[in-house]
Amino acid sequence: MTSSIRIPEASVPSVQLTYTRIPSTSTQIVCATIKYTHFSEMATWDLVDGKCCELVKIPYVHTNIQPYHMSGTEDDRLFCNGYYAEILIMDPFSLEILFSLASRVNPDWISALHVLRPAKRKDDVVLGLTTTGMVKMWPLPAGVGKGSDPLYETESKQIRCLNAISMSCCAYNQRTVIIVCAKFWQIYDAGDFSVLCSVSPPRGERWLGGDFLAADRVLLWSDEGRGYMYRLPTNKLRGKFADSCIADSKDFHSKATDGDNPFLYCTLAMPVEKPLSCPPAMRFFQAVAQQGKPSCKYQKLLIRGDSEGAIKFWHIPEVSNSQLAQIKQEEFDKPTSLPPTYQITMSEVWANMKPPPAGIVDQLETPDAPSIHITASIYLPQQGRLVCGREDGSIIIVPASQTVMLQLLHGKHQQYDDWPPHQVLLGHAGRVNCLLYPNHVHPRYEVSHLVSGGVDFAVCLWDLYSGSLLHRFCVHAGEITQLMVPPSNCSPRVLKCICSVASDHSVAILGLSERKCVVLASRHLFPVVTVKWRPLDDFMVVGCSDGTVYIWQMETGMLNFSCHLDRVLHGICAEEVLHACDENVASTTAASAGGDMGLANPAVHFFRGLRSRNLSAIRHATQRGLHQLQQLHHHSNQHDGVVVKSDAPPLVIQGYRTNPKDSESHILFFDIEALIVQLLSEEYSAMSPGTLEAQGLINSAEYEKVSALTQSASPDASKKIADFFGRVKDKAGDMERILKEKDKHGILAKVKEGAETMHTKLQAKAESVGLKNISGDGRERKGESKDKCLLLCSRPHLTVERVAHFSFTQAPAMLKSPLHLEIVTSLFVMIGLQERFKFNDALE
Amino acid sequence: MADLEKEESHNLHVEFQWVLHHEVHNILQQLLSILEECHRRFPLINSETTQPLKQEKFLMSPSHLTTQDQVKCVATLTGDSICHAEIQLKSRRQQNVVHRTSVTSDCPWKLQQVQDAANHLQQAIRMIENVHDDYKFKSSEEVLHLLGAILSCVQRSRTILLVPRKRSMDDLINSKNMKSLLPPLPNEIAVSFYIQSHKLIFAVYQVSMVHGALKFDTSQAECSIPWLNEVLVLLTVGLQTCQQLKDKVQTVFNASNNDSKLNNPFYRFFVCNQTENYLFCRFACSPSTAISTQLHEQARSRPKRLLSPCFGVRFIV
Repeated sequence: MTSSIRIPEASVPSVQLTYTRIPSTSTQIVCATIKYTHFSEMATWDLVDGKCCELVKIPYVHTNIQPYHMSGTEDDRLFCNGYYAEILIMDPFSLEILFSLASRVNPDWISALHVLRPAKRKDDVVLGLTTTGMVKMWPLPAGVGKGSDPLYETESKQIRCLNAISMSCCAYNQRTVIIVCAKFWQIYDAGDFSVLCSVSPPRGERWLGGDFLAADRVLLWSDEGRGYMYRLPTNKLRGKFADSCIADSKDFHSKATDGDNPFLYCTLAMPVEKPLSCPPAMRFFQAVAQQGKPSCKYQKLLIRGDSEGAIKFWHIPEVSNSQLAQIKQEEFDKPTSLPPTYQITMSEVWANMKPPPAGIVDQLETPDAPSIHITASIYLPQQGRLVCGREDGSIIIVPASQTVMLQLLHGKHQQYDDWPPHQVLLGHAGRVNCLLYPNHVHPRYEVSHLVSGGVDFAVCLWDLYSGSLLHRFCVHAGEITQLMVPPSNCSPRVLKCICSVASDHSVAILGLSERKCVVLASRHLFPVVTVKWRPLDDFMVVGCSDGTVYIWQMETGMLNFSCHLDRVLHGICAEEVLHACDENVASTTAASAGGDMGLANPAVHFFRGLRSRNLSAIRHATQRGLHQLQQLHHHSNQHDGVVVKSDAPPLVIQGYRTNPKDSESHILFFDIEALIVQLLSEEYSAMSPGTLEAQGLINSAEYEKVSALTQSASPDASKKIADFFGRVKDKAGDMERILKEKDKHGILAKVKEGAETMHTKLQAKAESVGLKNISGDGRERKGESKDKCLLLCSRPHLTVERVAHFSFTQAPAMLKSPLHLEIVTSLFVMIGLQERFKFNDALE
Repeated sequence: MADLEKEESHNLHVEFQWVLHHEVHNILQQLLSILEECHRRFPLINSETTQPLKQEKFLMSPSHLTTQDQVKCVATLTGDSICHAEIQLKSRRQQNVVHRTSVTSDCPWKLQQVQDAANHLQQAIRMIENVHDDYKFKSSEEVLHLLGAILSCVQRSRTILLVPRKRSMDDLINSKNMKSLLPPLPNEIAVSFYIQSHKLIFAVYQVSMVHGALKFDTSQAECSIPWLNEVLVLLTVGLQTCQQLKDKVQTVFNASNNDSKLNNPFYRFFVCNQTENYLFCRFACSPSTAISTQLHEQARSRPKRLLSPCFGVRFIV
């Protein structure tokens, strides 16, 4: 039994996105790399339909991926460098590593690379720069491809640039190379790699990157999110293009006062800067102009995206040499500063949305009171109720389908005051972080118990029906971040407990019936990442973000209060133990039949007794062991007792958020199969056996007719139906089964008549209803986002008509077409992706 | 009561500013010196020390699952590579066949783990160095973001040494390092030198056919490397220092950015120990609960929290 919990921020793997456009097929692909310590996951996503095409796990971690069209190949290749001493060339479709470029002299990580095709040559050349400042050159011979042996550099030279950020050759004059480090940028002569000039960043800033605008112009950007445009001293540049430049600008250059330093002629900056939590992502972009405007060949842009969810861009001004001469003659303190040409933030976009996206409990909002963010939610399918924990510490319980109806469907019900009725639980002094309804996970817990954890360090136990606070556990010294349920083969005492994790790195096992903290595991130095269980060994295994694993005794710990902590493991042992917990789950489910009688496995206690030389413990364990052996016989015939819940709920409300600080949004899942099952069982349970008989619903002749009908359908459909029947058979009793199979016939007959008309009616209805909101974009940022609703059907293969047939007028009307579902599904995938990725990195 | 809350809010704000402008810089400097000390232990050529690297010779002893004469290895380490090694191993298939091979200084066996760990550490150092002494942090998010980045660098550096990457048999046989063995070993034997925690490990993997089934054997020899031990200790200390600062900023001050939180009936107290490295704890309890009881209970259930010598407990009601 494994419970993975939310990973604390420090260990969230970072992500990098690379955009490649495949010219031949015009598909656009985004390659996402998720980095871990030893490996990374790479995935390609088709931008047109939002599908993930390929996902691979490779034992390398990239820091930079550069698409480049190699000569002699049909499409782009990805040139990757990162936490390894080679350059890897990958195929952007299959994500295979084709070949690698290795170093002979002082091999080290490559910090920057540039691929270019020198003029008058057919082959490409890769320039690489190691972190220790060794510049290397690999010519790529024709025919190099998949499976080639690693190529070695032909030349290498030590230069000054340690830990460079980027390196690029001038597209207009291949003799010049710009290398950007955090503390300076330098122009090199590509011929012999000698420094031509070097510029430090303005005070308090560090360079983030730079590129050439023209043969003698460069654009640099810094971690404060500003752009700087420089003119290079032309007398220093070499190469054919530079010569022509110099000739052009001879008149002002003859003064020689501008000397050898690049001249800063323009800055691109925000007039007022909001503080950011991290340096913005910036990129220089050269767009091919639209056809309408042939006057400018290229449109040059500097794009910036930051942690406030803002995107800004600057059109880079073309400044001619004569204008530049004018600027130079004017005396001024600071160069001209240009504000961004265009800017927009996510919060603005959301604020401009009319009508604003609906929240799941918007009816609680009054015009005078500002909305209170929902911070946690849980849906109770048996009761059909939705529990929402909010920022102010209150917990709201509302009937789910009614609140959904209120937000999404127009009708009379919207005029009622104070409808639907809701229940408020007050007890937390601050944000509610998490909610748990243990009975949903396992029926051993009481139906009325609801558990909540808050920012006020408390875990509260509530009676769901009376709304009273049963107990407040104050054992943690940090906000509660997660609540979970121990596996079902723990000892009886632990079975009545739940497990809570707090931001002070402690984990507690809290007894719900005894209202007491049973185990407090609080010596972890680093945030808790996983909690796993070894129920038979009576261990709770806690994995921390630094890779340490703490093994806590659950029950033996309770017996002798002094020592709960069994072992602390590091490194490779820790990993193995965590792995073993996963493997254990499969094997224990078989073996657990006899093991869950008394305390945990008596053999464990026996050995612990031996180790501590505790005679009474040994005796006790032996007695229990013998007792268990006798019991085993009786138990072997019985089932585990846990009946797998057969009925999937027709509606599931799932909360999600794209940023830990956001309020929760909700996705509604409608399971149409389950809906049919529920509606029919409700209908038939109201009928007497007599009426059933009269309608021919419990008649074996009818049943045979139906099965004959299903046989004749297409092979795919019959398989589907057989599957469905099979499931129903497993789940329910005989009577119920027959009922359902009968009504299947009923549906088929009626659907046949009305399918087409129903479909058009339904569409008309959906339009008249006026879909109040389907908010598409999942990428909201903190601050602006209210909770939003997405609709999603989890079973697209069942037609909507069937549902409509049952005159269920609520939400399914929203599901207009399979196409719509596809869109929402792919969006949902993207949301999931976004959630895993940090926003800032995603912008790159 | 309102005045008290206002004062408390003000005090919190002042404390927060102090942490942002002084405490964070102090601890970052401490961390920097720890990490720099750690980086110095790595036997790598850097710009400061131009002296040639020291050569160290290690006699590797068989580890617990390997019998005495199965593997024999004497390795000489220079920097991050094994420049010389004498290797003797017994074949599993034919017990009396002994394979001898060696690594020579013409083609040393490079321990990539050392370079990788040092590079990750170097990245963390650079991140701290990028923060100017007079730089004023503007928000706790900014600090948390920086600390998160530093933490993950140090963490990666440490993990690389503690948990060596698993490789497949094919990877091992085809690796560049296997080519430095002279004379080369038969095809069914792969060997590997790697670092795991403070030890250098020499592992031999043999695949053999026994009664038609593939059999896989591993034998190991190991030796302890003194500088690795020091590096690991310093990395661990650095990691803890960084995490503690992060916890301090996160749990205490992240919430206090939002003024509405202060209106809640929280009782705060903090315990200072002698290094002024204080730990804040807030407890939520209803106004009617006696504080002393709460503290008492807390002390009993969490002895670890109060173990450090206290010289002040302050309550803010």
